[in-house]
Amino acid sequence: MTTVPVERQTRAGRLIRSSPALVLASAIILGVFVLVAVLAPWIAPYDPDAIDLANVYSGPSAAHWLGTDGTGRDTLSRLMYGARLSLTAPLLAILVATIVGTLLGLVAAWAGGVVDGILTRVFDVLFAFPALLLAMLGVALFGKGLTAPVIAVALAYSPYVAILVRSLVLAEGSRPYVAAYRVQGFSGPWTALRRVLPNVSPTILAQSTLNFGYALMDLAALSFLGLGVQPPTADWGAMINESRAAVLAGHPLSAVVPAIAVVLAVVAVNVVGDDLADRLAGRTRS
Amino acid sequence: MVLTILKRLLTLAITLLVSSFLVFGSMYLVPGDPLSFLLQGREPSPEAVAAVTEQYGLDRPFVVRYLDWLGGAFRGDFGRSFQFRDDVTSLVWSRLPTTMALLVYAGLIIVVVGVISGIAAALHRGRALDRIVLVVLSGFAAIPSFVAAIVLIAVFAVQLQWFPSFGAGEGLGMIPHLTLPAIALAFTFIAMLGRITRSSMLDQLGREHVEVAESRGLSRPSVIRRHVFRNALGPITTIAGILIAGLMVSSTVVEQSFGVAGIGSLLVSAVDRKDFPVAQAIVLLIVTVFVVVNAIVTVLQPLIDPRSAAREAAR
Repeated sequence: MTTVPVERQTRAGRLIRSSPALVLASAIILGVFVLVAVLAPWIAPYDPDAIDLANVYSGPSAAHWLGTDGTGRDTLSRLMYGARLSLTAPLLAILVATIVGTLLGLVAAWAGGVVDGILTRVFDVLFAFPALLLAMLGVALFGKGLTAPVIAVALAYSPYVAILVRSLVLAEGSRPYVAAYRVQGFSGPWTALRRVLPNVSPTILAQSTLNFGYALMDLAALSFLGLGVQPPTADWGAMINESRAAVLAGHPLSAVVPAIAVVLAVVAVNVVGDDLADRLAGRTRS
Repeated sequence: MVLTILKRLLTLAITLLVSSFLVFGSMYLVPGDPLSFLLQGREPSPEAVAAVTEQYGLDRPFVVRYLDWLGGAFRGDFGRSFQFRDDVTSLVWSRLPTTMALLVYAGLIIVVVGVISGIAAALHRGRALDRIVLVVLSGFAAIPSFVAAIVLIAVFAVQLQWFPSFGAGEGLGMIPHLTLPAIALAFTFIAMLGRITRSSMLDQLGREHVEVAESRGLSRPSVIRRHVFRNALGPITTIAGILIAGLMVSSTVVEQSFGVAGIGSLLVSAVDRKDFPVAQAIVLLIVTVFVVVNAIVTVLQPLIDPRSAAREAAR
């Protein structure tokens, strides 16, 4: 029983060839986000947690470019500091998922037989746990915060990497060069790690880039539910959660700003990831 | 054919068994004693300790505990909630209709908009309409449900006051109450379904049998309906499992945003208040729905497309 969502596995949905300008713009957006996250303590105009009750719900002004929230905290500063957790948490999760998934996929493909059968079953079971659900289970077990959810998200995405690596390695294994190494007496693991992996790693990178976008949404959703990053720590999902009352009171700015940041980051990641996948597809065909 | 179905059912049973074991066993990953994990933050009266020990059979061996819990789950007995003075099952049961209404409403929007936009794009391949649909769908794919919820509330509930921003309503009142939540849920899944529909239609449009049908002089609409769409339906239905399970998970976010008292908001409050029996039951419910829907789709596949049964047999 293959329960793999077609959409995520093969990106069958990938249909628009992005224009170079769009790819460039997306890459610039991501670059700016990363730069802002790194430099936040030096470039943020205010302390992200500084409360100013005289300046509650102020609109955009020279003093506060993106306005302030319900306790007068500067939205721009919180957005800048928030980028740190909002980006590093999914990055860490996908890094772990990529390493674990790659190793499992390699083992399944090279061991074959019973090991492959068991691992494929394990992946099938893991597919039944969507990342956000697994993250919530993690919070129910280990308490609020990001540690358990990051591990849970890593666990949820590793089978996607694993089945991709498994199929790539199986396809690669039937090529003459692999047989040549085998004939020369090189060991299976050596050939897999040193010769096959480098050939398939660009495709893994493209898939992981797209997974990063999904993981970013999952973890932001968790913080939005109040189960991830806890106030007053700045995080995009948590910022939207904290601003829900403001939205109902007719001051949506402090919620809309981090919401736009999440959407922009996801769109940019998807465009760059799709472009990577396209380039690789072009390269392997030629 | 019967053998294939039996094999699928066996796989289904194993997958469900392993999933239930993971959901149950996860409790023992937490360092320390399971009793203090289950009771955390609550002052343990001797009766409460006795009740929890009884409920989870903590004085018996692990395997017995698991089988006991699983047996209870089969009978629809998931123990008692710590947060509410009620059985987990009746709690979930009372919240179920609201979530079902929301999911059906969102499902209708997703199927209608997703399938129509996918078909329209496929029939206008490469032309302006196709490009517009694709760009819009790509945008939808990047809108997480909490972003959609916040923006819909800000615009349509607060600014324009067309829809209520809170609660699920009663009877027909559910329609206006659940409209914004259903739309917030729909975006990502419209993108998913629209793209699959488009590529599946395009795949069929290029096939020989379609050319043959057209050369026989059949009208274009009838060719599209009977030869293209019907064949395209197979691949489209394969995403039903991820669609329904995905909807249930996203519905936690949407229910929480709109104050809709369904299963999703119950799960969030259970996780929030460390009400593990409730969280456990809902996680298992969602996982079960996902696995079962997937199994149903694989079993039904030959009925939609008899050729897939032939392919299966040929293997």
